Amino acid sequence: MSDEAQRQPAPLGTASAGREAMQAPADALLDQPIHLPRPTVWPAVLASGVTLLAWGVITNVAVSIAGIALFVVAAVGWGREIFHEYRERGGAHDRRGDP
Amino acid sequence: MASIAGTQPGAVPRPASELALWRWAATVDHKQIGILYLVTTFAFFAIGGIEALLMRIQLATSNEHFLSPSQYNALMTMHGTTMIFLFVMPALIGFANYFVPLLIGARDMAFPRLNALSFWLLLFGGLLLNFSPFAGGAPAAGWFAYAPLTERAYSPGFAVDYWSLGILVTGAGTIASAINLLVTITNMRAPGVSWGRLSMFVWMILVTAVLILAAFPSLTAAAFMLEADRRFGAHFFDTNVNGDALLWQHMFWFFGHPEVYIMALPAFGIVSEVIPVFSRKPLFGYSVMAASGVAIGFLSMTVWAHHMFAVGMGTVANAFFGASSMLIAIPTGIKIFNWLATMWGGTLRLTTAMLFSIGFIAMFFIGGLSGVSLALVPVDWQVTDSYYVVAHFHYVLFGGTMLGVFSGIYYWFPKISGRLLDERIGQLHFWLTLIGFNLTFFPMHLLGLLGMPRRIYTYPADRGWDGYNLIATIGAFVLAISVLVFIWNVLQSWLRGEPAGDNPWEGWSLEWATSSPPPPHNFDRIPVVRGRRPLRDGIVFPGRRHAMSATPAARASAPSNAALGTLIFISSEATFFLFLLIAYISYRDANAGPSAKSALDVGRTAIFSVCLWASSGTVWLAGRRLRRGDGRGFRLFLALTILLGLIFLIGQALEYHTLLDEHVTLARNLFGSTFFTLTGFHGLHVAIGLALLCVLFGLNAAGVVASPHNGALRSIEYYWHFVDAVWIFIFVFVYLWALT
Repeated sequence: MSDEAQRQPAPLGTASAGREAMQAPADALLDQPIHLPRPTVWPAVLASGVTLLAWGVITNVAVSIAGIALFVVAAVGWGREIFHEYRERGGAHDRRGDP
Repeated sequence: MASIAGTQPGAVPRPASELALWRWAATVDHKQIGILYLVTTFAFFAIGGIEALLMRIQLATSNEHFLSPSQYNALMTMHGTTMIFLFVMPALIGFANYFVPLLIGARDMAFPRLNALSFWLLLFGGLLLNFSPFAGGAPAAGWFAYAPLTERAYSPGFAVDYWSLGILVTGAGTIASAINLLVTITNMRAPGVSWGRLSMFVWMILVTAVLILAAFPSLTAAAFMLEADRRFGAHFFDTNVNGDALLWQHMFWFFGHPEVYIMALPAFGIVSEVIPVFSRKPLFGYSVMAASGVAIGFLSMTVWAHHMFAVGMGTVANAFFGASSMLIAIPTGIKIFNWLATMWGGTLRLTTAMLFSIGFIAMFFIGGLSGVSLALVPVDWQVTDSYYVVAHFHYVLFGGTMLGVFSGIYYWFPKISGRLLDERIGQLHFWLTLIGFNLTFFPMHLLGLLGMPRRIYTYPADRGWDGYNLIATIGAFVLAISVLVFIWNVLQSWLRGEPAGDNPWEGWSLEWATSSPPPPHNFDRIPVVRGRRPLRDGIVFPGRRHAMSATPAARASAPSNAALGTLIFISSEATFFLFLLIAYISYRDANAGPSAKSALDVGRTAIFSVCLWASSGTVWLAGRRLRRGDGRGFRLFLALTILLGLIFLIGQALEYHTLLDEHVTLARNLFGSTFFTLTGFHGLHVAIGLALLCVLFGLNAAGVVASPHNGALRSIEYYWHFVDAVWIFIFVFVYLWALT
């Protein structure tokens, strides 16, 4: 797209004109659901596992082991979350996948 | 004015918990994560700012003893580290988190859970770093942690370990963010949002994400080497046994200079959004603005050694890095001219957001000019490690990026909160910031030219530095007051500010096409965009609702998010291994004692190497079987892949056992340090790959991952090919080279 087309100053209030264009009527397909992943604490738990793993290097190996344990538990929980969503969508594969 | 994103029937809200704390801890909504980033990073900004104030009190007058030398060094180190790793960069990632999906018409990031992980890694890594004062003392070796000062002999205790581990943890989150942003921008754009219609902020975030992926592995590799030295007795930067202090400098600045642009480009993007809206004109030279951002990104990878002119690299290296540094001024200058040309003849509205953007241009311009002067090698030799350098990078990072961040907050706060920030208080904030900033940092140019070195905790009275230092300290307190004014503005506006409406600035990008704040799903219907300025050029909302992950998904040939994310991750990992390999190669001839030639059994390694390479073939055959619908054949070849991978790991374990028997360890010499680090990290990658292959096998046997188009399958296949390819390079440079 060339810059030529954009050199005209836009008058104030053009956004409103754009808004009118937006208000397209809904059609019959509106009831298709929007899929958003559920809230989950596994990312926070996994991050705490990584942090403990690192902290154990300068404190005690037990801290690192606890970190690894948290990491594994969180990774499994995270995986189950994805598995659950997969099942909820009727097992249809999701090309795009969203870890 | 009706919003397109109300609570229309059919929208499925994310299930929310009653407990606010739990809700925030469990959120995977990019907008909430963006807010978490911004709040957390501004808390770190406050900590870094207080550290700066304490330093300025110490430097206000000569022969001051408010702080001890060690306290000053710790504050200086923590201020730099906090501001760069815990404030500026993640704050910009926070903006990207909130606004990239909105600006491209997507419902969320490509990987919402990974997005949450990135934030938590930032928070916990930041807490780890800031825990150091309670565990024996804060790091005091400077934010760029030069070796060998950071070696255990010169920095005993755990402070430097907290620094490097904190950097590693937050760095992992940053890399994950970059992957997420790249995949989001590539795959999640709404129909019609072509590359030529992408918002300039998104363009700059795209370049930033690439830079993060190119630059961070160098820092990660260096930090791992440093930790190997400090806690496991390796010798990477141990100058007593031919370890090279300059290797650290090269690796650090290979990260460090692109990092400057990682912190600047998103601010360029913010300003490029704000200036056109408040000039009522389109961005001048859109294509050139995008191209110059890409050019800056590319050039920023070629200038790292301009931080090292004083180490004696030689004329040719100095000339190259001096010239490449000056070259960056060209695309940067293009941007400045284009912002000015955008304003020229426009109907300017001097809102606070616009004032901060104009302030950004002026201050960044000064920082850029002093940067060009520092690119001149003889000038650099005169002023290196002086306050001139401190002045330069604060004009870039505070005068530039920070003013851009404030501009972004004033511009987008109404979208985030639904309320306008108070313009009267905002203008006070702007002028206090501008005056305080210049009072603080302009005199530092003069102090540097007068010879005041950076990083000194006090100075004698007879140098003529007192007056300028006192002005700088007064300026720092004016800045502190300006920040308090800003915080007051945010708090009172959030609670009882004027309602903003959906589009208070009459903006034309997609974030203004939804409610303020936006609903969890951003848009009830995914917009179809018809121009570079969607709200002006027209967008339509076809009645069909798209699933979150189905934006311009019509392109059947496009790789899945998971596969694309893996490819990007692999490219970053390849850079990480490249640096480990560079360390091995650069120390090959500096080694004393056991070497590859004397210690390695190349023939035996060749046998188990063949197993690993053969496994690339079997994993490919497995995929082929699945594509033919032969699940049993798929599992057979997958099992064969796992077996071959296991044989490789067993071979590597046997090799390690032999070497350890011969007392060749990580701590033995440079060969041991580099060999075990390089092959150890590769072995770890193989082990992770094997675990993933086992999970894939189990899932397929349970009938879950049965589709040949499944992203997880592709991802693991790519990853496995990658670990095999890395071993080719290791085998050539470590084993075959040993035969010569």
